[in-house]
Amino acid sequence: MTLNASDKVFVKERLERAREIMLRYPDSRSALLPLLHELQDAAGYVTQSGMREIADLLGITPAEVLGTASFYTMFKLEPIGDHLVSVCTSLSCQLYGADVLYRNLLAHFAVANKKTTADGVFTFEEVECAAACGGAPCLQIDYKYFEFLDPEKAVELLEDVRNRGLSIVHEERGSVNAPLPPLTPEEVSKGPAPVGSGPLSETAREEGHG
Amino acid sequence: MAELVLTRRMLDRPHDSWTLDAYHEMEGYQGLYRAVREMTPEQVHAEVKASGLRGRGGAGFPTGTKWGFVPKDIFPRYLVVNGDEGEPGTFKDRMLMERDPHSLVEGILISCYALQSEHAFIYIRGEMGHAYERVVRAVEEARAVGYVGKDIGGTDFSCEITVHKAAGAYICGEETALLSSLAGYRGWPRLRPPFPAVKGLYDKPTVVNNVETMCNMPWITRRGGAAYAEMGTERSPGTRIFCLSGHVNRPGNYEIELGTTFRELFERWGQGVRNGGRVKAFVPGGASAPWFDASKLDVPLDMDVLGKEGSMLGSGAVMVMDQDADIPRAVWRLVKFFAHESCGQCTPCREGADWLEEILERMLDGHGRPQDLDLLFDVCDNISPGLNWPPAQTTICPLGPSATAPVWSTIRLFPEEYKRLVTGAHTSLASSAPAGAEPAGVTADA
Ligand SMILES: Cc1cc2nc3c(=O)[nH]c(=O)nc-3n(C[C@H](O)[C@H](O)[C@H](O)COP(=O)(O)O)c2cc1C
Ligand code: SF4
Ligand code: FES
Repeated sequence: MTLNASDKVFVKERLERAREIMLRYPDSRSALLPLLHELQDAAGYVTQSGMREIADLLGITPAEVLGTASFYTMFKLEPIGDHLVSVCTSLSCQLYGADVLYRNLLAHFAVANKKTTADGVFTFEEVECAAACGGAPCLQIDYKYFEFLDPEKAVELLEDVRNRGLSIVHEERGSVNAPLPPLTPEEVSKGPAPVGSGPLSETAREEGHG
Repeated sequence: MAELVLTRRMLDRPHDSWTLDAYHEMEGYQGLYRAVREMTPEQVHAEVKASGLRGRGGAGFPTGTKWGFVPKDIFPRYLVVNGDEGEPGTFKDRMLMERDPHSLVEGILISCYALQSEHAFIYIRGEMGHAYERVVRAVEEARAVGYVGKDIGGTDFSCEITVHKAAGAYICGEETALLSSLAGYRGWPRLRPPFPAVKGLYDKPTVVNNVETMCNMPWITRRGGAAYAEMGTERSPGTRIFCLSGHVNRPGNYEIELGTTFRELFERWGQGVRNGGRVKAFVPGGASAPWFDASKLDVPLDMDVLGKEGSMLGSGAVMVMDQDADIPRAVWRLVKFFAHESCGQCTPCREGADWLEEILERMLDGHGRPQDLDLLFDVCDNISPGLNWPPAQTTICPLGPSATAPVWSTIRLFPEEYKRLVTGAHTSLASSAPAGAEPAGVTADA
């Protein structure tokens, strides 16, 4: 993290960007969630001082900012690890053993739900449906998708991320375009085919995100 | 089989369907030009009405009719597109936003023209970072060539699109909660009326439509509402993307004509139940829908028929469970979802969903009591009196009653599974599942 908790977040380009975001809306209060995202991207979590800055920008009270931020699960009010691991245990994933997968992960990393590993690398959270049910069981690392896991693969995946970093592992094993488009009826009649993410398309690779 | 309206492009161009170049090569933005250059807003609206298109967000309300509720003389007015997809089992809007964002943008522009709105907002679920980036990029590309902004296509129609990233709260998918959230507040639903069409975003008339609903618009304007209405069934026209998940060999998103049966969906598209098994239960339309057992396999995917059969097509999420599935455990997981996502404004929803979760958890934990089934019914009845379908609603929004649907529908269909919990013949939830082991009844082997 380049910022200290007390550093001002909305200065220079970030301040300009904040102003630009506010102008997108007929009423600048609509920029509250986007600005909280900006803050969290910059500071790693939603800091008290950052929320005061947002309150000043929008002309509302810090209490209003906090009252809104705390409603939304993506905003973290305390520092978290380098990577956020969100494991879906909702129904479609549960049907493929996601609860076992998650318990196993926590045991392997000796950590509890919503807590960070001792080395500060991973913070774990159990989440509701991640909209990747066709690739169940799945998880997100920093909101990047990994699908078709099982308890062993999930542990191995996270060890891989810890050793080699998220971006390279995501490029090799993540799903950029999941879920795959459906097959046409003609293709359907040819019989079973692989589903879900498959290899990344070349274009998606070039784009470098997902 | 009908033509593919929504997924043709991503099938034909799997490596670049989301780019403007590819979209242009596939009739991209021709619907928009046709609308703004050759049609009046009223004519576009009339085509949408003629198509019979019904909203794909869950309630299935006819889109043309909804647009008609906007008061004639109040401006500005807004279009807000619901991309908050979070209902367990649903994963189609994400696919559309990632793979076909330009059809969403074009659909929005066409709809704004018809609604005479000059500002649209796309509210995208925050966890879908990739979808957000793709949509933002599509809007920028469209702006660069003059589809978004002032004097579109050399006409005097102007339209701005703002892409808004949400921050994690399922309830914000409910339209009034979404509008509060978009305005910068907590995502709390409010009582309707007034309906958003009359008093919505910033208290102005606002139409809220789902992503998939929007993606149909380019096709409808190019080919006409009548051609659209020829597909599907009379009261559920068109094609629709069904999100098939659970114990089938090939889960995924499938665009099929309405009127197809569940059996066909599972066997032809899903390639049958895994390991050659059989269907024990399925959720026909998202987490809020009452469940079906195998006796309903030949029911057609038609909104009205599903309503008569006591459930709904809802968000298009179909979840299949094979003979080994542990029904009360699956139900507990959905109830836990609702308890977690309740915004807490209404007592029956806030307290009731928690109670349901706790009772089921205790039963699964090996402490079921004979009176628990009555207790479950009783709690359900307190949330949604009468346990009917469609459910009675004593709460601000439908989330409360939704939490009861999986419970009462499965106790009626699979009473023996619940009785097993009461007689203690079930292994406990916690103790049976040390890390790494498989708890009884949950099949993690696929
Ligand atoms: C609790 C709840 C959650 C909802 N979530 C969504 C959602 O994620 N996406 C969506 O399009 N509609 C959702 N809806 C339905 C919306 O309220 C609204 O009816 C819909 O967006 C209208 O679009 P349509 O007419 O195009 O279907 C939800 C409704 C409720 C009650
Ligand atoms: S029914 Fe539940 S989710 Fe809906 S407004 Fe009431 S408490 Fe909130
Ligand atoms: S249930 Fe896990 S992604 Fe939908």
